[in-house]
Amino acid sequence: MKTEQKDTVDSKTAQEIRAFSKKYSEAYNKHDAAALAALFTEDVAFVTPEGIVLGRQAMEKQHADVFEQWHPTNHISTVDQVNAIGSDVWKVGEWSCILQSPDGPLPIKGYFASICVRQGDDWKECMLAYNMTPPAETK
Amino acid sequence: MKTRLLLALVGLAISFALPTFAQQTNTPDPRIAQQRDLVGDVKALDEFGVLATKQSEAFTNNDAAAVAALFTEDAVLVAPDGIFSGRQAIQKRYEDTFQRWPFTLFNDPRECHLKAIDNAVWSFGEWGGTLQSQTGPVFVKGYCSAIYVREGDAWKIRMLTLTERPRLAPPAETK
Repeated sequence: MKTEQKDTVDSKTAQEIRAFSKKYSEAYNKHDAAALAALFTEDVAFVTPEGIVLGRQAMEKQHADVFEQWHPTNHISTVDQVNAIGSDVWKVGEWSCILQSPDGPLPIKGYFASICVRQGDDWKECMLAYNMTPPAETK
Repeated sequence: MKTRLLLALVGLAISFALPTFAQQTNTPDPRIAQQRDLVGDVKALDEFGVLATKQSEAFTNNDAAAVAALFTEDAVLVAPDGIFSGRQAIQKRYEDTFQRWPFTLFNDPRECHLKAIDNAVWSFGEWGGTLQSQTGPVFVKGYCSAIYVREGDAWKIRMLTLTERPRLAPPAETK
């Protein structure tokens, strides 16, 4: 479920962040862990249902392991709102993808939040947290 | 909206293990936020200790209004069962949660990291607690991240994300 709230940053920044967010799904669907990790700061905190992964290198390995084990496809993320934290931003949204389990395709979904900081002319995420909706609630 | 185990806010009082984060130059780009650790910032740590105490009391009492009061009016809760925007929606969410799964114990937080960006603070860490189910107590835990902003003399939660595991299970399966 979701209750509505709008962006609180200017439309240009919100647009930049939504475009930036798509790069994650692009790298994810290519199973390109290095390209995906490059979207994050060196000291990123990746908060997952299984634990907290610290650092870009560890995050890259974690994704490489997931790609090898689950061969995920159709990763989609939608940014619901973009807000300011100082002169940086944070965003929240929904995600979904399909895992290839021994029993066949397994759709999963959940929600995420992240903090994006400027590094030069680029954005990088210094924190990404995601959760997973219980299977009974996954449509 | 179906069953959900709960959540906890991040407790922030105890162990802060803060990796170096600050990135400062002599000629900072005005677009780049000032970032720093809060390690050694006694005043800030004391203030977050107060927040942690209020949080423990609110959960111990299963008091959804008190939990909601820890959030800003425009706060966002990112839980496994949805995104809840606004203090009112968050209070309703906790009312439902406490009704289904009353909290009996809120454990001290573990490995909470606390960092600042400009005038805001963000954190990540682990939470845990014991809920009362129809079949007995269930231990739950998960990971969380949060953003805090100052309102008057107090810090309030602007954003909170939660994971939780395991799912509700018979006590024999819960460690």
